[in-house]
Amino acid sequence: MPRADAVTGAPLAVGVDIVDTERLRAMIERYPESALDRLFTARERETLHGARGVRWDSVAGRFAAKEAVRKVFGPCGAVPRWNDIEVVAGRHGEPVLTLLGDASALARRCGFRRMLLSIAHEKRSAVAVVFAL
Amino acid sequence: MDAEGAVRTVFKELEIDTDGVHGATRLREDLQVDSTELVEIALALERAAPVVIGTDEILAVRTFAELVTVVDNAPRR
Repeated sequence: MPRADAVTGAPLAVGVDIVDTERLRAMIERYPESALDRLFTARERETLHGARGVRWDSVAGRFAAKEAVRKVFGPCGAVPRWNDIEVVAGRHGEPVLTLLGDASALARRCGFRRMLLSIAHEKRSAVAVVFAL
Repeated sequence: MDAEGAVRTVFKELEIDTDGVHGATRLREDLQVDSTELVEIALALERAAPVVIGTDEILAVRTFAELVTVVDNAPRR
């Protein structure tokens, strides 16, 4: 089970991941359909294309977010599938994280009520941090 | 090609060093396979052999032997 907060006793976990944008792009371009289907939900795939084609910084940021989420589940003894973790842009461009299917049930079993996500990009990499509360 | 042969071929394609690799070799700790490469291994195996590698199965793999078993038991296309 995840570590408990020292003050409230509530489950608390943090996950972080960094992704090399070019390496992820090269991998997806080698397996264009199967890679995207395996990693991203249909809703995510709809939003990965911009006016200039695939937004690889966004692809990398979302994959980093999924890996960060998977890390917070590590102490629970199970990790969700990539496409049971959905990250889309909110009204103001902020990343909105939703757990689907088995990931949602797993979060309840771990005692997590909320997850907070932040993503940052550099030219060649994206980093994501997730707090599970 | 047998399952172990398919895995070794894919590792070479992906430039993962297979020298000294044996059943108990850990993918993440010993071979420094990260999550991006784990995805690619699954996709490359599906391309190299007529199998379907499930996401749950590939995520659960820890050692080389476990990966070979996953390929061996994978549904055929």
